[in-house]
Amino acid sequence: MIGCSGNESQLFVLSPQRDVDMVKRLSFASQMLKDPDSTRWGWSQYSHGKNFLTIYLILIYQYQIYVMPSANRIPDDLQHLLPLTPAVFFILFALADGDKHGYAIMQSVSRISDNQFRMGPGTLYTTIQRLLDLDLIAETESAGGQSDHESRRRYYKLTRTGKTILTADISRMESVVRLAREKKLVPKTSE
Amino acid sequence: MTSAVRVSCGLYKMVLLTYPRDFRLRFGSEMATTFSDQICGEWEHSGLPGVARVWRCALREVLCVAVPLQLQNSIVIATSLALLSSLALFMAVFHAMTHMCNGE
Repeated sequence: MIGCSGNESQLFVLSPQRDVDMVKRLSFASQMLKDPDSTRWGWSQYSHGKNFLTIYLILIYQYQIYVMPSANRIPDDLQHLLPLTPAVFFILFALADGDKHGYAIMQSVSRISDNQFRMGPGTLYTTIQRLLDLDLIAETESAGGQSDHESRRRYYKLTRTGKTILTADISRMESVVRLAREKKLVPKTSE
Repeated sequence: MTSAVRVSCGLYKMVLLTYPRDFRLRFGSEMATTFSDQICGEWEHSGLPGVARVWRCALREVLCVAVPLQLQNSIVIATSLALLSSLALFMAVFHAMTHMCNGE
């Protein structure tokens, strides 16, 4: 889930549960500031309730800025990639469980898409070139086998940024599915 | 490796010429290796229909991937425009001369 922090509009990738917790805490805190009597925990009985709350909000802000790992932030120049195209999504998804060479990526994509999405070497390597340039994947050091055929293979791995952007897209899809369930567009049995 | 697979791999190396030179230098041999693996796999599992499927996909990629990549190159665009404008001029002159001959 992507959250926005303060005026800096910095984007963070949170785990769905942590995101929900954070939103709940922030909405509770803002409600406290507006009308302390309205909260059922009775914060108004504390004489320094608002000061305490201000410190609490500052701590949350500091947590988001400094404690939350910077690796989970999506760089601004990669925001335009979301939502990912099918080719980019499937290649990143195929690399999520380990390093693979081109043909292994193709087989993996075929398998995970249940043969619904097929790509040839042209689509595969133009997408790989784009992902390498964006630093979403990287070439691994490990060489192929001994034979000439194997030695021509290059292996690719998912980078930390690649994993972050893949997680962000999966979270986006989760939200869409959740909304679709609320609108009863997908059967609940598919959970 | 059967002759069908060998011929396919040889032909694909020619198809690779439709991709831009820089791209070919960077990924050409890897693409040929992947295509060869793909053809071998399909030949073993599905036979000739499988090979035909791989070829259909490879040829579609020439139109959908290689041509747009080539068109990003300004030299190719300039050459194409020059050829098209020459062709248009030739057709116009030819059309005018045909009319003149018919008029006489």
